Amino acid sequence: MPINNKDNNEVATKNKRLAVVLGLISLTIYVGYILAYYF
Amino acid sequence: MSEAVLNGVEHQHDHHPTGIKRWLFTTNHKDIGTLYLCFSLLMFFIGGAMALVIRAELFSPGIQYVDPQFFNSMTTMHALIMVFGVVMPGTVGFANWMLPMMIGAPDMALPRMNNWSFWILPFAFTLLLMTLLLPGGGPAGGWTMYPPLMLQTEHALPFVIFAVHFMGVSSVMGAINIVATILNMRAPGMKLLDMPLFVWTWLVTAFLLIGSIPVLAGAVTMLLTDKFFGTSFFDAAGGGDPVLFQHVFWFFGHPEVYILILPAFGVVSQIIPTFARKPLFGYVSMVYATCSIALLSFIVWAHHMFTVGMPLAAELFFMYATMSIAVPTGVKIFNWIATMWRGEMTFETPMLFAVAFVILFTIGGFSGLMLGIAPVDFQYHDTYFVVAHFHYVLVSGAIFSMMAGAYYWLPKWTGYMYDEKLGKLHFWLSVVSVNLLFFPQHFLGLAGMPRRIPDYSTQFSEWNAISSVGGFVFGFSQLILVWVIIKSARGHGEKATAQVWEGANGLEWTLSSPPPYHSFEVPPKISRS
Repeated sequence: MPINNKDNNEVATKNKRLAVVLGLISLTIYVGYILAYYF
Repeated sequence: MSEAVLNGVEHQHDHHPTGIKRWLFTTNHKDIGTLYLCFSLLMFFIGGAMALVIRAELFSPGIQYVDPQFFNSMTTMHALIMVFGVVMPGTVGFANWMLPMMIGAPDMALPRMNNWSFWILPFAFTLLLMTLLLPGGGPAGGWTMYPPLMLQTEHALPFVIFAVHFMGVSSVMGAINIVATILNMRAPGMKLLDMPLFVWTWLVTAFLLIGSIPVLAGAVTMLLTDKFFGTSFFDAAGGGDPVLFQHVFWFFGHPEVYILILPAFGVVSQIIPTFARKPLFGYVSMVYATCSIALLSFIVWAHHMFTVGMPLAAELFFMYATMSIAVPTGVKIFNWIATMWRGEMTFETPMLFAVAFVILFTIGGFSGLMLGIAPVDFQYHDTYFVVAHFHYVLVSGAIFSMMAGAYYWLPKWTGYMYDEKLGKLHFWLSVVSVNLLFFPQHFLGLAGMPRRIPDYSTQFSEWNAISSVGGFVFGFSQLILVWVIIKSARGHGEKATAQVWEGANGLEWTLSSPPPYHSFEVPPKISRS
């Protein structure tokens, strides 16, 4: 997998950014549900 | 549709670690796909053995082989293993193997996370299975884990809850990886509506996973804190509400049903056009139907709870919302039939399983519609009719599609054709026995036999005996599948060509069989015809 050129680095950054966003959405739902019922 | 033109790619990077290190540290999508599929097969036999314990006990009335507590453990563990350990990892295995090849990507978007997603699973299922050795035995409150019954579980409870958390983390990481792969790694020129339907169904499934698994995690976390940390989320004595758990659980649970079945739709949508030698009928409507099913799956959860008690308006809403899912599902079924209509069909093993899927899944879908009718559900609820319904959807639906997919892609994975005679023997034994196993359960349910009981009234004897015979034949016929896979993997069979099937279309069939270690080191060019 060629990762040394600029294009692929850009894709890798996009992948990581999307993963963080989706992970945060998932975590928010998890914590949100518990807090919503707790309070 | 589009046509791929490969531009003389040399695959010279086939170096990879060997032995145990290859499998422990691999970041390769094909290796991880293989790991998922092997894990799923192993769990299929463990969960299947539990099903055989259940069917042996139910062969005749009275308590024969196991005590009721252990019987309840078996029903609970069987369900948890089959849902989270077989169907989900199995379909993720297909996704890992096929998605990058179908979209012209070199690998999954986040390969290291992919490795983690898989290796969390063996830990999760070790935690779950070891509860059988604890004092008090394994969890016995049902896979739905309803309090207050589930809170009576002895030492097994925290193990089960942590296991479910691990499974959830694994699924969400896998889903994130799939979304990133599909959205960011497609070959240049491949638009969303150029993607094969298997890719579409997985994109939608991944979003369902991201949206619903955290809800399950939240529910079981609250269960854990109710048991050990003095909270009263579900304890009426402390101001909580046990019915709240059911709402939260099924808000996850119904999308979960589509998490299990949408990838199955995707597999079947790849296979039927290949063996009908026609493009998939109504591709765009299939995409929209998939998205509609996913959206509707979030607003129907309370049809699992009609008998719990809710306002009439709510019952009506959930009933009509449930019935509306039949529309996009019907679109899919009619499109598969229209694809086959006047096609030059041949019936190799994958096609046999795919056609059986269409017929038997439709039976499961219709009994689901019956259960979705609120007043009628008052009779069917918690009977064997429900058991028959979801086994038609999940065994002759999801599992059959996985078998179809395994036969369809096995030559691509191993480079060798499987044994067609053994494949057909496996199919016919499976299709006859699965109906013998589950069809009589409709009659038992309608006659009033409750689910999750080790003993029953003698009036239910005959159909239970027939069902158990079907269960044992189905269980042991699956050994043929293992033999077919082993034979193909060890190179016993005709050498497979790159295209494998005469009617197969798509980027994955432009790669050699087996494909190179890195699929598309240079992205393929997509040209429109």
